[in-house]
Amino acid sequence: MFRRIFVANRGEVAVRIARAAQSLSIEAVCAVSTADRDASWTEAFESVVCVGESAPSRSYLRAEALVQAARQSRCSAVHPGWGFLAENPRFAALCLQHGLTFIGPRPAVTERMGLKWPAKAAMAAAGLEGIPGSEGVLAGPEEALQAARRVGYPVLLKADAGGGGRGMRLAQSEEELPGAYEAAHAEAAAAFGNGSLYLERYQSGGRHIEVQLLCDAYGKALHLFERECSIQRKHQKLIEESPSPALSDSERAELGTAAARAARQVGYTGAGTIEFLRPRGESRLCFMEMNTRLQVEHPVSEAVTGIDIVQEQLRIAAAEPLALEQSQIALDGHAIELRINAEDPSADFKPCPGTLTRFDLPRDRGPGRVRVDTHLRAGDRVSPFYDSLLAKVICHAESREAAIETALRALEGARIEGVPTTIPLHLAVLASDAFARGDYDTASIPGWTA
Amino acid sequence: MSLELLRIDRGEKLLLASPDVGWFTRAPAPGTALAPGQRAGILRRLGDAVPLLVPAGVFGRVAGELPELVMTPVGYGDPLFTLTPLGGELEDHAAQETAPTEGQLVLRAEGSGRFYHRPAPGQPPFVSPGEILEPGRVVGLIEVMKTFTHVTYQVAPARSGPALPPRARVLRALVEDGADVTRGTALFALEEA
Repeated sequence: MFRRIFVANRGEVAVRIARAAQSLSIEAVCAVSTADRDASWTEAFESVVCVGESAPSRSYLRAEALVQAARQSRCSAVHPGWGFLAENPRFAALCLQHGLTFIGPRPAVTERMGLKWPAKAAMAAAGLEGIPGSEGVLAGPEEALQAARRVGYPVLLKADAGGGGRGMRLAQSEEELPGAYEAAHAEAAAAFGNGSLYLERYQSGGRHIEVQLLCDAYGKALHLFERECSIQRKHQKLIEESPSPALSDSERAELGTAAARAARQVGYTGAGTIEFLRPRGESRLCFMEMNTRLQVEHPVSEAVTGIDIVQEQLRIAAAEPLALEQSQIALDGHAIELRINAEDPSADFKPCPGTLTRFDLPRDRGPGRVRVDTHLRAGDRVSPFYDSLLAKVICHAESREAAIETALRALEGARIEGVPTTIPLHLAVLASDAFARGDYDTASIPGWTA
Repeated sequence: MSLELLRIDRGEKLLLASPDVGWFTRAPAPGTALAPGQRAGILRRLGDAVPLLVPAGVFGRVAGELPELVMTPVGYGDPLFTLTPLGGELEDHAAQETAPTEGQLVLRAEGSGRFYHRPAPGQPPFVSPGEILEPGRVVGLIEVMKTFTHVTYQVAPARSGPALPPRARVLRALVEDGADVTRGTALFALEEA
């Protein structure tokens, strides 16, 4: 096992990785920007190394500086977290080249899977059907128009290097496409350092269902069942749950097995997720993309399987074989995760930086168990330079009803002051009949009309 | 290839800080007088060794004890040594050039974020000096928490100062492309048209 690892990320995910490292007696060192240098969450680390200024392109996206920082702080492995360079094969390769273990899949696999278009082709070969769209990445707005004419409007432009809904724009018509292309291109270039886009026919509604996978370096691939992530706003996931209320037990087993088989076939190692879309009114599940990293919503799967995914990532990277068998992994109850963002629900969810004058998220509300993943506390500043995630509240109970009840009580007890949050939206969704019935898709936010 | 040291003013003292992550070595001995452009140490990063240069406007003598700076790991902005200033040019000309003059009409930022003059790198700016602005005209992009929003010309700014004329001519930009702005930061100098 590693003695000391370097976290090339910040905030909530950095703290999550530090916790897993600590439980395995590994020291953790973190990269910081000048904006984060004095943040309270850095206390989770043995030490921090400042890698540049607040803008991600001048700090958290500087591959060479991060590798240098890992080396000079005597770390033997690098955890990229999510976002930033987590799905950048060049960064993974640079780590290996300088004698550092990259905690994630091999660069060749990241390159194929992390770039969305080659992933689609590879997954089709591994038996997972995709959504109709452009043949490869687009050379420019002209090619986007041609591809859109072929597959039909509405179309969704997506960042080839994307994830987390960044660099994604919808175009309903030929008139909207050039503007959407420009906006998605600029956002993708800023967020991922890569402005390449591809295009797919937009599936209005439908359900976003994804399978959590763990693959070791010896050809074993396990699935930790699925997460349903259809409660979204502007393509950003807001609420995730496991298991999905939309799948039957036999569909669940079939999907998990197919996803694990495909991951093994492409030579995947580490923790990863294959995302599927079930178009409205259909029973088939189309491959959307594979995320070759830890995901924000991973705690939902941890709750229902009892497996610590980040610890498993570290073990797999340290070349340990997976100790579990698929038959030993059982679904235990139901879990729901709520992403609490610093956004104003009354002003079209505008992100709102500010200072948290109060930040209380209760963990002692029943009937189920509540887990809160956050990097913040009262008095902290929510920086305008990074994303708006404040905390994730994960509620786990014996049944879906009990999990919803727990979530409602936990959020009713939450007191956050200083920035507006998405909590009113979460409460409306949780209290709605449509959500209780499991009757929703990516185009609807049950109980929410604003 | 060389890098300029970062300058940190702290009262009477002047600190020079590392401009990047790396191993710092060959620090100048205490008492050495430094002037702009002079080499003051080397930063080793992933296989290269970059000379560190004294930035413009800095004249000083290295103060303090003989530092134990032999291949010391440093981060961006970590102070490397303290200088006792020797006088010289210390004003910041750049700041004077971009500051708006008294009584100048200015378009201000409505919120915090990163301001961009161009829709994408390599493309022409949204507005150039001499152009006429009318309400609703897009003048830039502001990035807040990875979300991009158009900044438009408004006659009655929601919360950032006095009303502006219905037609205004752009005199010059007051912030650089990609600059971090806060609410009220002056973005453009204007005159009534």
